[in-house]
Amino acid sequence: MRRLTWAKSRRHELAHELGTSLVTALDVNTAVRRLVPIASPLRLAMRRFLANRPAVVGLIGILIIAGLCYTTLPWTLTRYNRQRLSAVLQPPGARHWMGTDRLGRDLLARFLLGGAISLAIGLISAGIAVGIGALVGLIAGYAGGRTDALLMRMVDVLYGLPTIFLVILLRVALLDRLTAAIAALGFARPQTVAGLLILLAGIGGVSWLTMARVVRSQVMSLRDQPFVEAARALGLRPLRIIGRHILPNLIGTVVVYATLTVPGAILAESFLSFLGLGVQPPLPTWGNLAAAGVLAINPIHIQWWLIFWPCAGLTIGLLCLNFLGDGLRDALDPRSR
Amino acid sequence: MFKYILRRLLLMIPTLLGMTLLLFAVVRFAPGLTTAGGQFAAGQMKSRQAQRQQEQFIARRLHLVGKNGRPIALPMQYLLWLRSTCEGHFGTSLEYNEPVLKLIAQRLPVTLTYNLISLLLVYIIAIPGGMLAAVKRGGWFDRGFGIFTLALYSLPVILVGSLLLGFLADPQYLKWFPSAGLHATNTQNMTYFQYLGDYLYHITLPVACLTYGGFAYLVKQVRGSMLENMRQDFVRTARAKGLKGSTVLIRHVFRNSLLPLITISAGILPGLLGGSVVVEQIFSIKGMGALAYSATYSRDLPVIQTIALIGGVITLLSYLITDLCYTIADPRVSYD
Repeated sequence: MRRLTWAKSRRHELAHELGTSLVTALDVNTAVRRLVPIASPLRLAMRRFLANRPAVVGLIGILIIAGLCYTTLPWTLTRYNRQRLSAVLQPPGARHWMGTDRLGRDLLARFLLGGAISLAIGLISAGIAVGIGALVGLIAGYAGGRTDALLMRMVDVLYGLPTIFLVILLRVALLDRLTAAIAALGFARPQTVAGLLILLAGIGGVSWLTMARVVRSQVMSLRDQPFVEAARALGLRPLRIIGRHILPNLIGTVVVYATLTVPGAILAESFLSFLGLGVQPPLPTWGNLAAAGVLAINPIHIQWWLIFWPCAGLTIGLLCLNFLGDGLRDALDPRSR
Repeated sequence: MFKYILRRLLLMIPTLLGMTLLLFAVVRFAPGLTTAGGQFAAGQMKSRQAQRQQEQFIARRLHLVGKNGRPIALPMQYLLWLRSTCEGHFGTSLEYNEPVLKLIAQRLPVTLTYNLISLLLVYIIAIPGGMLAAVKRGGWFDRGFGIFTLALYSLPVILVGSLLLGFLADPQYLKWFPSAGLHATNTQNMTYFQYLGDYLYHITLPVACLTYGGFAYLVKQVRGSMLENMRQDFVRTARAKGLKGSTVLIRHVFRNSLLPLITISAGILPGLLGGSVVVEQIFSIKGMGALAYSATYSRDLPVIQTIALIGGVITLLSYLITDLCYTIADPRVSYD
């Protein structure tokens, strides 16, 4: 970003030397491009990202998976809970491409809807990480002093508790009351909705912490850079300094850590589903489908499709997201260069 | 040095207070505080009067009401609870009807032992791997190892654990490992080494489950800090002195690259503790994780509260210890 500002001012100097009256702005631009080869940080990052083959594969993969899961929603939403008791535990075949489960429900529909819900949980957590984490990090890093100390103690408190314990605590404390409150509002399946909200609160409550810490340290180092000092010397208000000079420099970091939050949240949901604390059954997620599948492993007869499809979805989805996040980090995060 | 430790310990206090406040708030918000746990544990029907008596007893024990039966104000409840916690009274489990501290003293060493073994394994494998990746930067090992560890990280524990259990610990397929617990049934007539061997045999699968996902992050860190140090001036100086490449790598680059790893280790332990809830569930190990899990379903609040608190204290202590190690290991860092 600094290089960009420098390049812009250099461009103005050159334009002045060449005589603005004689050369049109377009010519200046081409002239400058020839004199000073400029590659913007964004373009450099893009080049680095595209050179990272696993990351590109991950991006394409997750786009395909998300596309499949979300475009089929109208179909899956009508099918995911339709039971055909005459066709329970059927292996994959022409009528049910992924087979059917214990209640004769079509696994393909459940798999696709599960993927949509899992990805949504990941995306919401990423949203929380960006909304709360980046904001807290920004405030703590820029304000410093007592505000910083207070906010960081808050982060420390939540950091100390492992995610699972936090969800357990929230669930024990809030589930019944929240269920009652939601039932009073007249929603269908109040317990499921309450469980979902608690799950999101628990996973989201932890997912913003790393973001807050990383953004804070980044802001602290940016705050002392000459260009921010210059902006302050010019008398710009803090909000404007943050908006114009600090925030643009943070976008890379925020994107990277938001991306890395998504697989973390999906994985956390699968853990919690395995323990029976995740999204509750009629609604599918990759996590609770996989959990139901692995619990069905028994020595007598394995219904392999019950394990294989959800686990494949979970693993491939996580793989794509992790490779994507890792590639973005390599390309964008200045700390890992 | 002493002053530094003291200051760090004092800084832990507000964080700990915050934790206790959070735990207290969450637990006090739970409905049916006094009716939970107790009635399931005994397993028999009680008369209404006995039920009420028990509720009153629990209420008094949780400082909800005073000795005279009057309700106590919320801030005072917190202070009373805090005082008894500081004195080491963590309450009595509603499910087991035993002091929570005793339960945790039984369970914590179990979980901590295999977690530390797993932590050690992660480091033993990740450090040479990361070093090699840094030395052969851009080569097939570097790229392959990076992809491999990230792929391992992406495999969900529930899948790997269940598959290991289902195929390697099942008489139907391969009976290579035991399927549950940490000890054989006849431990009392074993020699010490037999006992140790038996323990290692039992923890192989659980430790494998906890370990395999941990490499990705650490390998990346080792590799990154090695690469960064290789570019430093002192490395060039060492080369210019005519030292052998391997000597420079081990004496100069590697030693300096180890420093950031010390701080990272602090963040890994809490994650492992959380992960052990799932692993203990899969392999039927009676540790802290299993305790937390059963406490969730029986709404055994004192147990949940204490486990969360102890988890938090362990996390804070591990941060403190790693910071101290860092200042000891790196003479450039001052204590003040």
